[in-house]
Amino acid sequence: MVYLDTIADKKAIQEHILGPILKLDHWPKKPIQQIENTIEISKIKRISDLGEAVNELSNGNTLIFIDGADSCISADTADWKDRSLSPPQSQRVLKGPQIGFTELANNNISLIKRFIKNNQLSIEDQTVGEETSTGVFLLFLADKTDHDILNHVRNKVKSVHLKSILDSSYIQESISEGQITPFPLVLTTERPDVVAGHLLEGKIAIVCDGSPDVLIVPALFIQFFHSPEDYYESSMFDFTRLIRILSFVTSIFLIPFYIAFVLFHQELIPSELLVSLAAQRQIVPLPLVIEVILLMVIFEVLLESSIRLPTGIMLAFSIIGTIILGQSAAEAGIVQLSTLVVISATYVLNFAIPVHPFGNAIKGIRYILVFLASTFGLYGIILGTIVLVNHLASLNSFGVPYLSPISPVKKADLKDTFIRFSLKKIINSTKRYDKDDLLKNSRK
Amino acid sequence: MENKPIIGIIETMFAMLLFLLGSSVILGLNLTAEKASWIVSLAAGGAGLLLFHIYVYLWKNNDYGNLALILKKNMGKFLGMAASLLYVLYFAYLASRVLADFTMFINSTLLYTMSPFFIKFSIFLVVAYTYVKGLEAFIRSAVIIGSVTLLFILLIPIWILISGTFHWEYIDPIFDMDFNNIIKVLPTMVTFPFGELIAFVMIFPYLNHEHRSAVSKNGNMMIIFFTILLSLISFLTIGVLHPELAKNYTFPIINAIEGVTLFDFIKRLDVFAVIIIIFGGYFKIAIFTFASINLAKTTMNKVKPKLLTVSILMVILLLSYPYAENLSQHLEVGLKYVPLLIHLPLAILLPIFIMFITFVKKRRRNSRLSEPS
Repeated sequence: MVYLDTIADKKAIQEHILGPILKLDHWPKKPIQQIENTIEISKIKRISDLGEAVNELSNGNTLIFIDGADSCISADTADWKDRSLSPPQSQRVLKGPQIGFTELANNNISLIKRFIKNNQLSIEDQTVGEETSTGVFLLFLADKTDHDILNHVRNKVKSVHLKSILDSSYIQESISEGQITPFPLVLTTERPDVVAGHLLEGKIAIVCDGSPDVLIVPALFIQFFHSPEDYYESSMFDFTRLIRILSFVTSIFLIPFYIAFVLFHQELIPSELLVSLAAQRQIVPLPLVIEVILLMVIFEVLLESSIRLPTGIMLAFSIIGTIILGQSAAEAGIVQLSTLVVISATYVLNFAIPVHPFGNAIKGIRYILVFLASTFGLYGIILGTIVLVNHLASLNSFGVPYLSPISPVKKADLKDTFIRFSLKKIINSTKRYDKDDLLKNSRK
Repeated sequence: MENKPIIGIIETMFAMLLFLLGSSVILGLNLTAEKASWIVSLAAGGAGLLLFHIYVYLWKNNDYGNLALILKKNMGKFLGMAASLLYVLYFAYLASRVLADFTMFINSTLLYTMSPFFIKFSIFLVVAYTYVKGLEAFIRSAVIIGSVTLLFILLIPIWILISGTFHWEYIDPIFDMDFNNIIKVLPTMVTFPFGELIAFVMIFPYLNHEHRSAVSKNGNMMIIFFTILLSLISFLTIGVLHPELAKNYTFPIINAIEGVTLFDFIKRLDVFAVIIIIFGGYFKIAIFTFASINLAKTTMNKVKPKLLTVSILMVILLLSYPYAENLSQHLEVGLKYVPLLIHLPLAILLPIFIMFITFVKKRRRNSRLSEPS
């Protein structure tokens, strides 16, 4: 009998394999069948190939060799260490299910199944990565998913050529190749209720073993502004989505507009404000653009380092980082107070976006717009906006236009875009996604 | 060249609105009719509606083909090709004219000291980028840009009215018209911006098949909406600036909004007008560029498409130079000679002529079909 000590459940081996075998009265004539029937484990396989046997072994299974037989028995005794279920870390909500995924794919799938008890829920598993043999599972509702999109996603996952896969983000990056964009084309979530909701809309979830983040495709631009809470709170007079979108737009444009107004279009600033701005400018040595870029970089460093800090120093860090650095820099005349306000407002607004990677996507765009604003002023910002909108409109996430249902306009789906209409109106209607040329052609 | 169905009707209509808004709000307001300007706008809109239906009729009754196919079918191979080439130049010329308009506008409202070349070149680069990204992305972006524009443009009349800069006595009596004046201005207004809609005959073939029948209905609504908006804006502009003075401004709408102050704090709302105009101008240049290049590709299908694209883009950039020495000269050319010598034959007379040919052909075909039975 062979097993790997660290990943096999020794108690199960003792009780359900060794125990029954030892209790046999006499040595059987057909040992393999007899032992197969004796072992008290549900998942048993007979193996005659050495390579396969090694594979089974490394999956935590126990191999039973019998003298004189040409094959061995593999019994499932895997016992992967896992943490217990806990509330999700990055997508917290006040109201609604408080359960998050863990690193074990089996757990995650069972969490999703608990939300959708439906025989149409199909699970396809694949093994990706030669060196890690990571299990990747595609989940979808067979009657709701569009089959062109499904095939497309399936092929993409099949063609992932990475030797090792440690997290679902590896898969995310390799399946969204082909379009150069800072915007995420795949939605990641830690919450089973979110996955269930998207599956019911006809999307496909990709569960990757070893990662608490489940990928959802196709992802649409507007869905990065939707928080699960939207569906758990009453929708009457609820404009939080609009506020999120507005703060997203403002966090892109606030700094460029500030630069453009101060450098190029001073006549557009109310005169009282202009006087105070000019007074501040007098004592500050750096040119405005350099000052803004410098502060933007410092803010990024602050954010970056605050993630990695041990909790013990957090308090001291935030005092040094925010109050001393910001306030005193302004008092010392190194930076302008108004610049400080504009930049910190930008970063505060940035955090209103519920999905984190989206906040990262616009960092680069902000720098480009700052550059355009400092060379062409307002006109440059508008040019940058045109290019940005064009870029967004040209993207597609696995064949579905990124900006749908806003553009191409889909009236039926607009009910769940900027403002959530009543659940009755949005849940019971089936969604159908627009498909781009890419998929239309592949069907022919 | 086969036209793949890639765009939807709502997106196209947004693009059309932006196209019409484009330079017409800056230059096409044409307040020379003084108090009657808003009537002129309405009348021009009516005529524009008629023109639009001629274009749609041509498109529908020639197998939903683009301009090159329509011309070839009705004028024969040789003449049709010559006419197509003429249209290629026409669209390129219009694109370059808008480019020049646009540059001057930016130079005189936003960037006073910037060299015109940089402005021209930057917007030109953006248009080239748009072309590379393709028609689909371009038309789709119209929805977002169009919604923002609509939001701003609907705010402008409200601002003018509540800020108190509108003088009722400038407009009163409302129906005091000089009909000679109206008739003098009308042709210019019809050809520009409505005659330029002929560029959309190059866009409509890309419509999804199920949306084809909706073109005339939605187009009607869009043109009527735009006409009312244009009329309202000229009405308000005159009310703010005084009829006899308004016609002397280069960009009357900007000057009208400049005076608007809200609550003594928000001043210079003309930024909003500037944003609308930049968006519109960009859309106009891009649509003419698409029309010109696609028409050239269909007409000269033996020449390499890339070569055509690059050369037409270059032509557009170069054409925007010679007649744009100063603003007044440019406007003189744009509002006096271009409508008469270029727009009139190409945007009105030739389409009407082709419409007759199509009509006669259709008649003959129908009678031939009905004879045996």
